[in-house]
Amino acid sequence: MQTKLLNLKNQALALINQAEDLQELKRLRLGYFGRQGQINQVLKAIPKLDPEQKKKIGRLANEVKTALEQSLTAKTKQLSVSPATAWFDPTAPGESLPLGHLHPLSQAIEEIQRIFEHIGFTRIRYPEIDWDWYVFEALNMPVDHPARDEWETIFIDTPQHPQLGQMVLTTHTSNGQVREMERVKTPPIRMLNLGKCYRRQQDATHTIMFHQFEGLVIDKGISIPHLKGTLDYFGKQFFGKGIKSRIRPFHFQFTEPSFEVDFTCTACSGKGCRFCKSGWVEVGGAGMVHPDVLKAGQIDPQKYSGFAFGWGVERILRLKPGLDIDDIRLLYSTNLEFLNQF
Amino acid sequence: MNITLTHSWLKEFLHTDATPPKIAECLSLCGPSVEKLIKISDDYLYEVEVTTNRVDCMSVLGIAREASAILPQFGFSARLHHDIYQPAGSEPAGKSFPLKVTVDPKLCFRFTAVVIKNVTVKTSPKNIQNRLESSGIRSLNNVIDISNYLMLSYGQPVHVFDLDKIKSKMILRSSKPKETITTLDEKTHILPGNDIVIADGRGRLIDLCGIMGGLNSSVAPETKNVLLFVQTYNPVNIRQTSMTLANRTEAAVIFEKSPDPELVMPVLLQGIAMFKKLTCGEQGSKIIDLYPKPYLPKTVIAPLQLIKDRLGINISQKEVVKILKSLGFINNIVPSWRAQDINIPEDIVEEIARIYGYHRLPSQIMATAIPTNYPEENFHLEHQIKLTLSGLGLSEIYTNSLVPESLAQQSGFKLSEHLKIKNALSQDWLYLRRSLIPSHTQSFPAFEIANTYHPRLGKLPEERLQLIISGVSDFLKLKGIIDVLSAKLHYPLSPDYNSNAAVIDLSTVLKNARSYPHYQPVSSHPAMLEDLTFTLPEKTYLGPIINTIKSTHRLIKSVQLSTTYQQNYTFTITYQSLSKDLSAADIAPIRKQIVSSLTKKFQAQLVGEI
Repeated sequence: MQTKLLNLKNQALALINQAEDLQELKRLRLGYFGRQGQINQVLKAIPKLDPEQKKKIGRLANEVKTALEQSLTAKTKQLSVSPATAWFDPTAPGESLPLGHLHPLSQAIEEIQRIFEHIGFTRIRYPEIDWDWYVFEALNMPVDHPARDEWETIFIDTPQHPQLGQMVLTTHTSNGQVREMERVKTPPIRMLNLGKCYRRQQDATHTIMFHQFEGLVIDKGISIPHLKGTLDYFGKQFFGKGIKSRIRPFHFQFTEPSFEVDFTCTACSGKGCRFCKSGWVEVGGAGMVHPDVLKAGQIDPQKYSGFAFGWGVERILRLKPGLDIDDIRLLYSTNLEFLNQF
Repeated sequence: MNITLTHSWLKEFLHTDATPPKIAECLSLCGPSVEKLIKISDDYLYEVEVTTNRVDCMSVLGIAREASAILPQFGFSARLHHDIYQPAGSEPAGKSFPLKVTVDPKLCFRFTAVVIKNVTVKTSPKNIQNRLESSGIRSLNNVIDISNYLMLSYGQPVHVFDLDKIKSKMILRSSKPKETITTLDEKTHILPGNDIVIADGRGRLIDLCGIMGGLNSSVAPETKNVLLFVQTYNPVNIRQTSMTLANRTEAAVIFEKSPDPELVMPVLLQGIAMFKKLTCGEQGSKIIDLYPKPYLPKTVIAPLQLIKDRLGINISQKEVVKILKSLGFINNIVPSWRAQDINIPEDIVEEIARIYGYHRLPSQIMATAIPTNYPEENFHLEHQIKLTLSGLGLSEIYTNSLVPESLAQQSGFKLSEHLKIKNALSQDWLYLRRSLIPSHTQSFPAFEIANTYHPRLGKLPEERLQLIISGVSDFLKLKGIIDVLSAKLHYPLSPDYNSNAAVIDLSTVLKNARSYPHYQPVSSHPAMLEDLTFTLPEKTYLGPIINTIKSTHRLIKSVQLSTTYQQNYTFTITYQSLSKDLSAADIAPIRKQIVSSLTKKFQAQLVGEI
């Protein structure tokens, strides 16, 4: 019975394949699927089988039916194209389907996350609205410290917290540093905090709301070469092979030493052009975590050391080779001409 | 803060064989960053960015001192010249001081002054004028120019009074609220109080210390006798006054960063010499120097092992000592001009590392343990949602969390129940939004994932992550999008629909959604399909009808609305069993049950007969 079915299937498939016109197909369909068709003939015999066989053959018969049905449909479609319409124009415009767009910021955020996950970083989300303590004071910036001038802070009109100070819109993702130390308690830490930040600035290269990502690594024996290694790795992954990074002296209250980070200019491949500083483009800050910040996060600076960096997503997106977004305010517009390009 | 200086001026303090482009490059790699190097006629102009901790570099001397430590690391010769910290000879003696001086030592850490008599006010020599102007300061006359020239050369702000305009006394004290002073720029300030000021014998304010001098005591063309005045002040007061009055003068920017009090006397002596040379004046009094708490040298030690650990290299003690010496550190004693900045061993590590050269350090990703205590977040699923929606033809947009009053009013909450910005940059960004809907004014199908912000008493606000799908003109299409997304997430979404938008709280979705389904076995038995058409009363909700049919029997695999015509609705019902081929006899009772419950519950009438 089983063999019979399989033979039937093979024979039928061959005949369907060789069919030359629709009429022949119709004849084949009747021959197999008609009331007196060959398949029904087989099925009729099934009730006479023993239960075990019944089940097995029943299932097989079903499969054969499905296979033949599919083959017939496909062949019918193929033969339905009449010689007159067989003219095939690959240059004709395709059917218009809705084309959606993932925002360039989301594309960049996903890419940044993937790059850092490869080397063991954990992405996390910390508050966008936070207490002064996490945004400044725990980062070694007491109230009224001149270093705070660098951040055009936006304050919320609410009463102060008795210990944690004013409520502010986070000016940087660095508020995640002490929060992550509090969450993890004992290193190792490899954090990627990526989120929205806010500063009182709005022009072609700054928007009042923007995105930053913060890397924080804390463990025993973390050194400047580890930061350099991480930066070099990121530069190559995000901007492309031949990209190098360099660090230069800078000052932040919450890192010691502090650095400014440059990558090879992607516009001129490091030769020097009108967009860059002799072949280098600045992307943001970095540094070795200041012992006071470790202390604020209840981590012993005698035992552990670490590095941190924090850069704007919009900034590095602008520097993607060939992207050249000249006005980042477009990212926060609903300009379809812009969005449709991504 | 930035400082601009010419190469020729720098050369007065620095002897080197390095060219200006090389000096710029080496400084940027190891010290203050040279933002621009501009060629001007027979000279170069450096524009240098000085970080807030390095007020000692806000001068030509400071930049020269940095260069003298950095350039030898690159194989250039470099020697510092005219370092006024090593003054030649002792201070000249003079007559008694003509004013009675009272100083609050909490406000002024060091107070020095000297009278210069019989000055001739005239224009400065060309060389001085050019240098000032290339550094962005307008040349006025020789007396004023001297004070500015000293500040640029050494980084110590200097003030000059017309001595004859001061009545008998100088009382340096903190201001009372609402006292007024008119400064050199002819602006009258109503003081907030706690500002450092000097009053004279008539009780007039003659100086807004550390910010700008008073107009009533200023040097004018007819000035004969000058009071040369060099101080350091309490930086906190200076900063408060400067910020409150929004008057960020060059002097204030320096004074608020605690310049070195040890620099005060050398600059005063330098000033006396310049006055003699440029104004034909002579010292007309003894120097007064009120310095109740003189600077005590301090020691900061960084163990060699710490330096090796942080730099990741095997640097020798000898090299460490050599680098520190080039920066003025002798036997772990911090030079006075770095006393504010160098406090902990890590500060020393920075000095060694940058002079050694960050570019010479190795680069390698850390081989330490990878943390595995992940937070409860699901960023991948969030991204999956974005991919699905953009795949369905929607465009993702990012709109601002900060909204104007008009949008906040449409949130469904009272205006007073929103978080409000205290120092808004513009009325466009005044409130933190509680709803995404008002922000989505665009006319094309779009979506966004963003937080809304809900105040909580005494706590940080709740940041609620939400998904909005908007701008879909046809409601059934919007629902179709939600259905596809539900299917992809293997979790039934129940959005809040609002006109043409759907809003979903993501926190529960991200916790419950799945990346794969609960697998249902695939039946090897054929399914049976049939269409049933019902006439429904007007305004009958279809959802409950479909649910009722679906829940009639476990053999009903799916129910779909296939066509509608007036009040007639046709449902395609798929029956399937996992265990057997269904026959007409299996289905008949189920069909009957469907018809009877729809008739009973919804007054539905079957079209045709069963």
